[in-house]
Amino acid sequence: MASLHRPKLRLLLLAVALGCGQGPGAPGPDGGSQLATAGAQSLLQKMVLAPSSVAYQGVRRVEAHWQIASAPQDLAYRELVSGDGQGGFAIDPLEVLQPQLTRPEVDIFQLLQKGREGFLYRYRDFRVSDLGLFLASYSATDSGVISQVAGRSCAQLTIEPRTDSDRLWRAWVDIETGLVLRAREELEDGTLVSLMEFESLSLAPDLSQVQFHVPINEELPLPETELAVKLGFPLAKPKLLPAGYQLTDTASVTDITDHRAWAKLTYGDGLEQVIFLHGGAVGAQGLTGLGADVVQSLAVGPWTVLQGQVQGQRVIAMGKVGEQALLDMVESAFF
Amino acid sequence: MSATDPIGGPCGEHRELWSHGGGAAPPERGHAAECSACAAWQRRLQRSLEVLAGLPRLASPAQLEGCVAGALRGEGRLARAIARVRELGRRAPPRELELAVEQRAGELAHGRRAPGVLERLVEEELADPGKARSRRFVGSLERFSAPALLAERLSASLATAFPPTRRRGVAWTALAAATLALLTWAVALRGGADEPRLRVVHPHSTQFLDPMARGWIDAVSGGVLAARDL
Repeated sequence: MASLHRPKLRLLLLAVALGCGQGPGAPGPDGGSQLATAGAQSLLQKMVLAPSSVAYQGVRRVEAHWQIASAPQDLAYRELVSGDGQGGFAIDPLEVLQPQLTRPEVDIFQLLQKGREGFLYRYRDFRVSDLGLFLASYSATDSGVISQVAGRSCAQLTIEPRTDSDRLWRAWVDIETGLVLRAREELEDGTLVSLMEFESLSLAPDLSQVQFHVPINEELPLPETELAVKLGFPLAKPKLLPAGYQLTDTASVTDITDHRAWAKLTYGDGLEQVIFLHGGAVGAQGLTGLGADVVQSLAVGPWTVLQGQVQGQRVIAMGKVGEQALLDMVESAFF
Repeated sequence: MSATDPIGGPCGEHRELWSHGGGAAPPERGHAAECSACAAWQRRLQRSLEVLAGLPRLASPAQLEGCVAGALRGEGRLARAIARVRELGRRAPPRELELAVEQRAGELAHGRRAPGVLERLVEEELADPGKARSRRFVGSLERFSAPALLAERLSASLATAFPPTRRRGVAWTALAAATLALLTWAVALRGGADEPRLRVVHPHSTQFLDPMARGWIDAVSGGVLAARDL
């Protein structure tokens, strides 16, 4: 990766901290941050819009280096990602680099990955979805270095939560389009948690052969008022949310194993998301045989997942937040 | 006073006094302190006053001010005004006002409540603020290790003060005392807090996850579980 130091361009675009409590146009110590802040805001706006407004196609490498139940788990693969610039997208798996899998295993894995490309696109990928929420919860600082990723000039941002956290992100953002071409999720000590990196990129792709994403889990976005009617049971809604999170989407989803409908409430802080699933009354088989008002909690890499039955209702919650934050959400939804 | 008694006597006097603004005493004082019915009546009246006070104030039409000023102009205007007012019959409150009062009363009575978990957390905080602060911050403090020089001095002092045969007994006694102190502290810490409503268990494997939860966490996380378990 080549790094270019261009002081003038750096000052013009992103020279100072982004969103660090100063409003647009606030003068900085060097007297030149007004332009820089405006440029920074512009780039952040581009980042929000780019995934659905820029036509592109590229091969990217994805890595996860996680701890699951105290055991290390590494995964690396390549995939072809396409966007038509109008909201359509597709993620087609190409090859698995790690762990070593047999050919049939690779086939199954790739089938699974294609089936859940919507999840990968919306929840796995690094994406600023709401600039206001994002700036309230995170600070973004430009390193001042212009780097080349997949042949494109990128600004290099460091994104840190404003609340106590042991994680941060480094994002390489294409200055022209706002596409994030490389994103590293790291622990404070520099340990790599996740990586997404474009190895090639075309901004004039031939998308005629691309099979764009079609939802398969019958997810139906619905206003909150209509959701309870559709589900047939009163909706349990968390009243205590993790800091910085707000309700962003409500939908009904169908469990393809038993065809039961669940309420899906999605909360976001502009970057990360928490998913709260309420499945109504516990059936005869219960939920993994748990007792009343008992929840299971498990850390899966940076994610925490909570499942259980509370007040006779099935509930699942997951997000890149601590266990206590999820417990507060669940408890506040039912008590 | 029973519920079937007519309003009269001390109750009637009290309510009359209170209705005309002379009853500034709260329900727990004065006549109402001895009469539960009047106390309840007084609380309802206070509630109604609060509700009415919370209603948005509507401005009178500009024409009304002109009419009033015109009627009051000249001699004897005060007498004329009183006579006109006395001519007015008592009007029932409009339906809109009743609806507005009912709505406002409903909001006050069934207003948004904080979730139970928030109440519990606040109660814990208020019950022992020092403990809450300690729990919150102690975990994040940096742990310092004792300097090597201190360890050397302690070893030297121990060797001097206690012969080798006594040293082991002293160490065990110190360990037992420290354990007892820790247990006492832990019991005291736990005794003051309310039990959370949810019991949390930590499975040792993702195999314990419900298929729905497992599918979702695998999907949103990019396939880590699937690749491991193929």
